[in-house]
Amino acid sequence: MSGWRALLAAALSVATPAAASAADFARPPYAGAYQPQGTDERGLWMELGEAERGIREMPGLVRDARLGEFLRGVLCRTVGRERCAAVRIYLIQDNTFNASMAPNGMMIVHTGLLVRLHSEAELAAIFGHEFAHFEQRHTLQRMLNLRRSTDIIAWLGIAGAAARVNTGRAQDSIAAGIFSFGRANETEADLLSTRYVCTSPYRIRGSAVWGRVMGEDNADRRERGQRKRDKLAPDLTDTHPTDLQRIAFHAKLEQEVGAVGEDAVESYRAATAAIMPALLDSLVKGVPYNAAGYVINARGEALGWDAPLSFARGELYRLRGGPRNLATARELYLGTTRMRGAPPEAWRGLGLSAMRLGDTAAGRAALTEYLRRAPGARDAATIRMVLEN
Amino acid sequence: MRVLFFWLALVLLAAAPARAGWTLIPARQAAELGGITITPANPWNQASARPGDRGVSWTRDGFELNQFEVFAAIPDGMPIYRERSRRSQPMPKFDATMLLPDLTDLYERSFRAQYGAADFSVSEVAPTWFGGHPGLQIRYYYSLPQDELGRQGLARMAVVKGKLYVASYTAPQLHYFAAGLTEAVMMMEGARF
Repeated sequence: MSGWRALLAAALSVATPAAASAADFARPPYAGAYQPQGTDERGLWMELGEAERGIREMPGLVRDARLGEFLRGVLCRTVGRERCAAVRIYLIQDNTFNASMAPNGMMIVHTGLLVRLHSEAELAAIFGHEFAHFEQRHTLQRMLNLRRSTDIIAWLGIAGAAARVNTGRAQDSIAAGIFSFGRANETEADLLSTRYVCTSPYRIRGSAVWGRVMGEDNADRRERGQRKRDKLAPDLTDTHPTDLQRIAFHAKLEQEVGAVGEDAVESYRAATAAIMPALLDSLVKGVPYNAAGYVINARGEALGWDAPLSFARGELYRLRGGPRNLATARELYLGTTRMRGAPPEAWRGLGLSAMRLGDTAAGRAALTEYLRRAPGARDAATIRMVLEN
Repeated sequence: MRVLFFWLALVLLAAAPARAGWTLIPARQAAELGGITITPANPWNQASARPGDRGVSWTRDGFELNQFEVFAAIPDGMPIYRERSRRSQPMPKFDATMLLPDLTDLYERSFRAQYGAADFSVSEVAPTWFGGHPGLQIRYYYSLPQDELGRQGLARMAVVKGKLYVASYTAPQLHYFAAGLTEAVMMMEGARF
């Protein structure tokens, strides 16, 4: 048994949810979107409304109606029509693997999420989790819990000083309770998310998503010379359960539910095909090398290597530089140029890497082909200058 | 009592926030910036905090509204922006074998890492002159996380004797970029190294 699997098995024994029956996975009744009560909550809703107006004007907001419809469609199929009517989805350009949902119904999806997921079923796992936070009003609960806990800590401190009694330990316990409250919310959202997905057309796929989160994090840590993260249990101040706990939690649920529902890989691929080259470009240029490489390889291994993905892999090696990486990049570009739908930039990369490796003739030929295929390219004048010199 | 005052003064000194230092760069006077000379038409403010080991940052109205950065003679294997920590913020390094088009990618990766730009799109890459040497000009759009302003930038780069020279001007698209562009381009064109 590999070390990773042994850790997973150990985590399974720590983080197994209670045995579930079919009834546990039924979609709970819905009471409708929560309306804020009292001055504090209405104030919070007002602030969120202001933030939402800002997001609508953000330059990084992706204004793609078809993609927006697709995201809404997946959400509605995941949580049901009635629930999804309360949600407004905003897709914003951000390379991080993240999505969030505010208590007023504003859901923010990062483009970095789309490039890392492989199917509608995986997107459903994320949407279900975020909607569960919304339905359970976790943000609001956390705000109230934080206020209550810090009030108690402050009063304990004053009382302790007056009575000359050390209250440090009691204060520490209350502070730790703030974090454990957050972790409990996450687990509750994971469980409720499973109930949504189980009653949707999708297969539950949470363990694959969390496995990828952990894989990317560890790839990134390797590049930075840090220890990989494989904790079985969270620390006192962790806001989420550990990745291994989450993988184990979802794997167990998936085992109980069985292979029911569809992954919808092809429909996901089709809906994201137009934006994928831009997302891959942003990933390659905006994310540390190892992490970007992990995302690209995971995608290639799961879905196969198409021209945009193969090109992105070539770009990653070329940008890393050094003779070995440039040689690998050249091979990858060459492979890409033989694929259907190869982007003209594959010839650009092929030419630049060949020239830097000293093969000027091959480099010039590839760059000339790039200009033939993309005469109006934004860097055409610079490439011509390279060819002339 | 004196000892008490001494310790009190020491504690107050230690607790004081670090002051950002500024140096006035006078108008129409050549400023020598470690291997590159720039002559501004208007006065600028140079921050004491340097963006890189070989760079300086200037502003007229605050970095949020306009920023002019200059990096001189970056050698092979060094990053444009300072790599504060290889663990928390690794920076791409300049490689003397890079061709002109490779510099665009190096600049984009460096800029994204330095400023955490959520999106960055290059609108134009063109050959140009920089400091009397053949070089490259990039125009780009970007935005910062949690920021509602669209921003624009223009950078010129050249490699001379295996060393990289960079000058860039960035500002919000709204008013400021256009307002300072002419002077920024003049400073880049008048640069000497």
